Amino acid sequence: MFKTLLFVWMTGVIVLALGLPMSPQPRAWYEFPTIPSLEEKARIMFFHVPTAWLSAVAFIMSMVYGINYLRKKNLEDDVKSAAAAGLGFLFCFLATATGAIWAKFSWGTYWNWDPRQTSIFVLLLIYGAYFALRSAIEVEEKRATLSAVYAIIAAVTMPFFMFIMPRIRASLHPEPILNVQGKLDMNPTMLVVFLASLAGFTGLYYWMWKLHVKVQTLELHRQN
Amino acid sequence: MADFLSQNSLYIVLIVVLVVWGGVFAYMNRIESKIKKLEHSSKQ
Repeated sequence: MFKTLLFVWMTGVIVLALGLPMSPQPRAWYEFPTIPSLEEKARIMFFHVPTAWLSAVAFIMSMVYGINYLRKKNLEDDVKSAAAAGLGFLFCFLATATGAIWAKFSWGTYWNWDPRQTSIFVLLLIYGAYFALRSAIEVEEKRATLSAVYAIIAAVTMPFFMFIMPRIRASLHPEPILNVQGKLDMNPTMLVVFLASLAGFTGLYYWMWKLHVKVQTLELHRQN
Repeated sequence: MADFLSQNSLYIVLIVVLVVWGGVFAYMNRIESKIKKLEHSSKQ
């Protein structure tokens, strides 16, 4: 049931996000407004922002299960924490890649060390180091403990790189969905499609995380 | 048809994204069914 709903939901989101027409002065409810300088390229927002959002959610989940592991010393919490960090890294990479493709068509280059690009790059390095740390330790309990501590420290730095630094430095990046004044400034039709996309991507992330955890738990039981 | 698509290239993007989403969904479905089989055999 969940899978069927997710399939239909995401298919609907894709059709609406890419299929609804854009107009400089939208008259009908199904028309998106044309945003000057962004135009059709604004549609990437429906895919780029949810991937960035999910990387933040995943890194927080990784921290929460890391704390759980340190409290209870249950290896299944370590599996859940590592699965969340892995998916967080994947979605962070997708946000970087979709952002770079958008930058090519808006700024003329894939990469120009804009504060947003620099901060997400640093975040990718931080979580890249997490996997290097995990692969360097053979003893399960030691690996789980050190990974949990690292996941907590890494997640504490995440809001700084993802939300604070890009807002305190001048950037070419379009104004974030939640702007500096803390207001949501978006056309209602766009907002509905955007929130639907956010919900759909979150469902997809949850499914991927569950599958990852199941595989790793099977592996854990096989080893023991 | 070619003229229509060149003037409405967004529809090509739409078709490509739908195909990618269908592929991701089918792949994940397949993984899930394989995991279920593994779980079933590990319980026996």
